[in-house]
Amino acid sequence: MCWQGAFSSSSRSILVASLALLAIAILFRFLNRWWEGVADVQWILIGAALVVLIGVSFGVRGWWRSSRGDVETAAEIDERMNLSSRLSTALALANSSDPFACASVRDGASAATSTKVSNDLHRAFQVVVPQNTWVGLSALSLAVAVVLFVPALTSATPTLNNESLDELRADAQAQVDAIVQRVQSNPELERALAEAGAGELGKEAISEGLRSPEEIRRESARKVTEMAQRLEQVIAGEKAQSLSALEQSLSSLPLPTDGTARELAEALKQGDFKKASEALQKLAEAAEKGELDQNQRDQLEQLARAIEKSADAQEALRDALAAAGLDPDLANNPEAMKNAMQAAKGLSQAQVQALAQAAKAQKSAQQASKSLAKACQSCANGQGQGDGQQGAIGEGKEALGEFAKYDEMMRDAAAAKSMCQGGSGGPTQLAKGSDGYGNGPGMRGPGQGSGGEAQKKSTATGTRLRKEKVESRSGDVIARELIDVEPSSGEAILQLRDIGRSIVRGVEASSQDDPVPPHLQEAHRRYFGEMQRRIEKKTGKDPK
Amino acid sequence: MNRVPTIRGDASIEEVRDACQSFRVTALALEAETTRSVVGQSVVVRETIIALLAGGHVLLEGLPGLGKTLLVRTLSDALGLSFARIQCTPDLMPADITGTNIVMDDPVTSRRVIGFRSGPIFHQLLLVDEVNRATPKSQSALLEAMQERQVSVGGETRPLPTPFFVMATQNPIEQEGTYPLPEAQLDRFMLKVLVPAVTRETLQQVLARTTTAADPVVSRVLDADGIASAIALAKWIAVAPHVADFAIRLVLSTHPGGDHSPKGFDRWIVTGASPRAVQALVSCAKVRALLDGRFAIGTDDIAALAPACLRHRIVRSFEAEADGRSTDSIIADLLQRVDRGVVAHTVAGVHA
Repeated sequence: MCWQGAFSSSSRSILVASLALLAIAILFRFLNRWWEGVADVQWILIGAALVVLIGVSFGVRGWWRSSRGDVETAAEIDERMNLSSRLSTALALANSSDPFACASVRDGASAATSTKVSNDLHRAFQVVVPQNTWVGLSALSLAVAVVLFVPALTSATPTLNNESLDELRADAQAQVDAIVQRVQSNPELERALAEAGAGELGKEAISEGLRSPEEIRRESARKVTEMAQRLEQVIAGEKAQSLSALEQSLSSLPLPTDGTARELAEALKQGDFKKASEALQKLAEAAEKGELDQNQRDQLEQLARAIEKSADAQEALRDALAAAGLDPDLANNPEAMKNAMQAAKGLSQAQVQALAQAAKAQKSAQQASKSLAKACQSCANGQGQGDGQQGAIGEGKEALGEFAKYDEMMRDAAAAKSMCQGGSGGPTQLAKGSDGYGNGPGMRGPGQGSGGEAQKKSTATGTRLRKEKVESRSGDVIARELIDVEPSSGEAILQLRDIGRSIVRGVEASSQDDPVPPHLQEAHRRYFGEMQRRIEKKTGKDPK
Repeated sequence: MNRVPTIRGDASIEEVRDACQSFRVTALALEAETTRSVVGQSVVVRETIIALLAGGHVLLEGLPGLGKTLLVRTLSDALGLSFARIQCTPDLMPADITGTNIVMDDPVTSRRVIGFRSGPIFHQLLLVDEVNRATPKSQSALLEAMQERQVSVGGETRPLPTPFFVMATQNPIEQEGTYPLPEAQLDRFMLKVLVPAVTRETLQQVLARTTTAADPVVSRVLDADGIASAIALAKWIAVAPHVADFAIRLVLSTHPGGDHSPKGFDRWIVTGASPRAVQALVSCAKVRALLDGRFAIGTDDIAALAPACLRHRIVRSFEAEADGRSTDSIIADLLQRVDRGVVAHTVAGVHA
């Protein structure tokens, strides 16, 4: 009976321990960590041995703690064999002298020695499988089946061996390397990225410690995404804005009738600064040799004036100021613009920085335009490279060369960014001016990504600002104010004046609590200022 | 007429055996005589006889027509006790039960005197039929009689005859026009026996015995002295400490919030069983052990008699009633939860 009790107790503990171990194994399986180690046969054997050891230990301990005295054991026998407490009562009353107690003791003794009791004893205390064992075994079998035969449930990604992981890691590294190589092909771009804090990006290989495909892909995606963000910073940076500002200012140049001057003007209008530099070189050589006739000189002079004029237009900066809700005319007065930016409460720090960057870019573009205008003027004056005006032509060529580098850098940055977004390198490069989406083969699998994104470029058409006279008429109501005063009659003039003042005061107070957007502040002030002025006029008081 | 020998403290084991055997034969004979008239209610008959031989009162509960009154009348015939019946109605007065002082003619002096005219309670076996149709005032008239076995009328206390048994019947309290018995009076009944509905076979036997010329005659098995001897013998039955402890823990488990109350039972029970419950449990278990031919009671006896001993002593909560938990099902759960094998070393021998 002793070993049967210990066995029953141990079997329960073993069952519980095995379920716990299996749950841990499944947990590792789902987490996809250390599974390979757990799945080894030796570890399974060690785990099984551990389960049995724990189960037996707890079983023996539980049996030891639940072991009972003689009377309690006899009571257990009485209960299992339906002896109506005969044995336990006999043991409990063994020392009593009461006649009925003595009779009970003798009755219990006879029951204990009866053949029926001895025959049924082993049957009453046979090893009993723990209750609901089938539930535990079923759960165990189901869990094993899930782990072995349902790979989709074990983890999001299949388990790969070391070779497959290395291959996957190499593919991911190749994708990153291709982008880095593309960036390094343009030293300007590499330098710009280094300035943007992305100098070390992509140079560090994907760690060998990553053991799952998901982790490798995640690490690769992180590197590529960070690179794309830095490239985006370059594309939207100061040099890009300078380039854009210059292209915008030159886009409205008038085209000379013919000759090299026209070639130069066309190249400038299209933003092809490399070609413009070559055209300027030709003009300088012709001027030096005295091959330019008067007509060509006049055209060059006109071109120089047009470039000079376009430099003063500063359309890009004007657009940036208007977008920030400031007066576009501030572009002509840097000091006033600086003060306006500091005084404007509605501008965020990022908007202020963007405006400052736009101003700086505009200045750079303006200097380039003026250098170019001087170069054209030198050629028009018939002074070649060997004359004293060589400095002006050299400065012009230098400015054009610099912006040609910017242009090339932006194209490379856009191409590298498109590679980051899923397209591959070379095959998806788009020619400048192309507006389609390339279909890159991608690094893994066909047709991934949208391919290269065409660089944005202004068309050759320009815009001209002009003021038109329009008929003033009543417009839409843009604001209403609840007036909390009693309706008046009689002395309406004074009442109206008070109402007007209260309205303006209320508007000012509410504007402080809930700021009006910067681009509406002017209209707001005008509207309520005009209203007060009209009221004062009606009531006979001249407005100030 | 059967006799149950009296036992002394120095009796031998053989004498004990003979006495117990005599008791068993007598009780089984009484049971056989009763079941000649009362058909298909063997459990009811057994539990009623156990209560009688343990010296307690019995409350029989069941629907009308199930043989409750017949059972009591048959027992009175088989026991040869003086029998009286009180048919309870709402206008029943306490004096109708206990008796009262009235003006009567003195046969000796031929003068008019005030004398006591005893009521039906002055009989050895009293059938209180449909006790829950009497008003609480009349019900309370039975309290002193049942516990103290005496009646106080007109400032004078009068003892009741010996033995004195009250066998009350009641319809389920859900029926209209009934007054539920107060807990204090319910506690006076040793057992509450439920009379179940009859089966098809039982009804066939009832028809055969009541609608034919055959008229079962009940023989007298015991007299008043024999009953007293049987009750005295039953008190000698031994009780092992662990069995007594089981009975005690079972009763204590009905006390909500107590140390022995199993977890979750507080919500079912409002009031637990009184100490009379454990007395009733052990007393009835002794008779049951004797009927089974044993000299000591076992935990089986306690468990078998627990429903009849406890069902009228436990007050269910509203939650239990709302959830449809009957008292018997609560007791059954308690029997599952209370360990029968634990020995309480603080409990001394409680036998005899």
